[in-house]
Amino acid sequence: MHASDDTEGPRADPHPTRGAGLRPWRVLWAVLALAATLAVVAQPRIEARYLARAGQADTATMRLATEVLRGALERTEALPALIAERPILAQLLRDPENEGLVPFTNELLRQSAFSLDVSDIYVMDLQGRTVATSNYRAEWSFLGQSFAYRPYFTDAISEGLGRFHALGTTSGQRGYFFAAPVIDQTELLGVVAVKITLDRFEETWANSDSTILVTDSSNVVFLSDRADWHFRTLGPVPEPAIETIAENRQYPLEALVPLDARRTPLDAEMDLLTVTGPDGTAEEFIMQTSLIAAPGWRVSILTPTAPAIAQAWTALGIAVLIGAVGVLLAAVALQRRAQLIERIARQHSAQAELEARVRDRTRDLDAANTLLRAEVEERRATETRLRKTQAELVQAGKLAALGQMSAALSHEFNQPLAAVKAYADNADTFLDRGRVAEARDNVGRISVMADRMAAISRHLRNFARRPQDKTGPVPVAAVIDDALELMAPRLKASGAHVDYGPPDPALHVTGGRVRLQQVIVNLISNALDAMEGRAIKQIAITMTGDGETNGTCAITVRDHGPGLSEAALAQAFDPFFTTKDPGKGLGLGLSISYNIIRDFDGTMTVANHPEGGAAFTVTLQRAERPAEARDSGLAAE
Amino acid sequence: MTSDASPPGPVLFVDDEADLREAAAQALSLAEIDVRLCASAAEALPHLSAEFPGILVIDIRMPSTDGTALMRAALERDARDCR
Repeated sequence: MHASDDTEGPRADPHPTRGAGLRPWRVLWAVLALAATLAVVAQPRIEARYLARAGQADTATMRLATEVLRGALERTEALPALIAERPILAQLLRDPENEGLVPFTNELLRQSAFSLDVSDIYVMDLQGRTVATSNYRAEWSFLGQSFAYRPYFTDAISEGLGRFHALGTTSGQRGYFFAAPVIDQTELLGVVAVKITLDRFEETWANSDSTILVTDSSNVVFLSDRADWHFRTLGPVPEPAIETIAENRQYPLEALVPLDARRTPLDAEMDLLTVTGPDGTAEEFIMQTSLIAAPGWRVSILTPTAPAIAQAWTALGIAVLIGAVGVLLAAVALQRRAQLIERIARQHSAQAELEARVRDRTRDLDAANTLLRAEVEERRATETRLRKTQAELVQAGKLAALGQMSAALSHEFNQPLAAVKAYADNADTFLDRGRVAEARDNVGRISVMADRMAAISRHLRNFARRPQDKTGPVPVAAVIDDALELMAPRLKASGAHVDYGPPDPALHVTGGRVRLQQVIVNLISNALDAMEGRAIKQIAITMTGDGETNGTCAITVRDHGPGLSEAALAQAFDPFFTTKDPGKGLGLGLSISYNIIRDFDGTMTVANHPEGGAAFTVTLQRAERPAEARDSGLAAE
Repeated sequence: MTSDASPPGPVLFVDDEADLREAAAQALSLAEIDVRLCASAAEALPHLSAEFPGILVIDIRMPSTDGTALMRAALERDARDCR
């Protein structure tokens, strides 16, 4: 079970393969069974056909034998009458004891028999006693013997012609006898008989494979090339016939034993004859018969069936073999075709499956691809949107910072303006009163204040401007100075103290000057917010990397506020995260700063200072100080 | 009214901006009004006595204690002293 499962395991579907493997065999068996059935059905017909053909082949032989026999009989038939006309016979019959006539006649008959090629010629008187014979020299000479019992004798006397066949009682030869009366002047004197022996015909027949036999009207086999069949009977012998035979001494009665023969008709002209021998072996023949009317003989030729049957079987075998080969070839062809069809089908299905699988995979892939493309697109859009939003937020943050600062700024501007106004008015009064020196002094003060306001205004403009600044070396000291300058009003208003030691003006970092300044402003602003309402208001700005030429520079802005909770530390740089009261800030400042620093390939971190307060650290790459750069001024922007 | 030091001026000017204080002082001097200048609320507080007869000019936005707080303190002291 498991083993078969295992062996068939790799196959997707074992059934088609198994079916394809067995089908041709099944077909083959079916065809073989059909062929066998056909053979069984056809065999008798084929056999009959072969038997008929074999018989036909022997028909001519039979006709020839018949004609030869008939010819011999017909030729002999007239001889007794011709011989009877010889005067010497009458003379002898009138004077049978004549010592001179008998030898002469005997010799005459002997010579006649020789020249006529007949067996014997002999003359009988009216009592049937032989008075002269051609075989006078033989030991078994007919001389003196009586043949009155023979029908030919009586027939010759009564009818003028006698004919008879019989086994010669004297000679032991089978012969045919013709007899004619010897008549002299209407006086019947005797009978002349001519005998021909028939044994010699059998000799010629013996050369053939077939058996020729001659039966008389009593169904006795009189002639045959099979000696053992002589005088056997084929079919019933009528009782009167037996009596006649005995009377005529035609055949020895003890020889008349029926042949164990069975006869079945084969077709209109032929019969099938089965002869069983004394030892029990059966012989089968095709039997054809023709008639020789005068003696009432039937000449039959028996053709052995064995070769014909063998031929029939051979033919059948060949036919079956050819059929089987044909079927085999057909089966092979069919199987090939079936296999081909199956292979094609399998290829088709495999191809279809492959295509389907590819389609499936491709569909998934396509879907994934489309999704991915959509995601990428969305992401790109989001990024663009984010950048735009970020840029907007930077701007918004700046605007928010501006708004936040506006109060302080207006105060910051209004104060010097008020002072300028007052100085100007006073100067006018001083001039009216001739106090020129004091008036000039006031004008000087006005000038200084105008400068101051211009400076504030310039810082503001730089801050508010959209960052077009390129990333490059930025002087840290200048940036922090600017930021502090910008934040000065708020710092002053809040009363916070900034602890800051300016670094070497040569300290440069990689970044954008305006944006870095914005970050520092934001950090200072946040520090101020964090310390609002607290007793100690102190901001420490420190930095590392001062005096070095490479590595990083970390700028830390530390306040003395309450510090940040753990949650706030984690979210400090998230957009819209704020610890401030509503309305005090959007929570964008640190997020924007964070992104700005990241744009500079820097980092921004926040931690609580161990001694209290939050410390924001901006770490940037150190940069070479540009040759043309100066340590101060905003010209670079 | 006390006789010690300079006679108390009629105006007490409180502002963290030095320029504004200076300008105010100039203007008031030109108008021959006595003026006292203070840079912060803390600095002004000692001058806020019941005897102070003048005018208080206070800047509202100042570091530390802002102007309104100083004004409130002045009004409080004035109300108490006037009772």
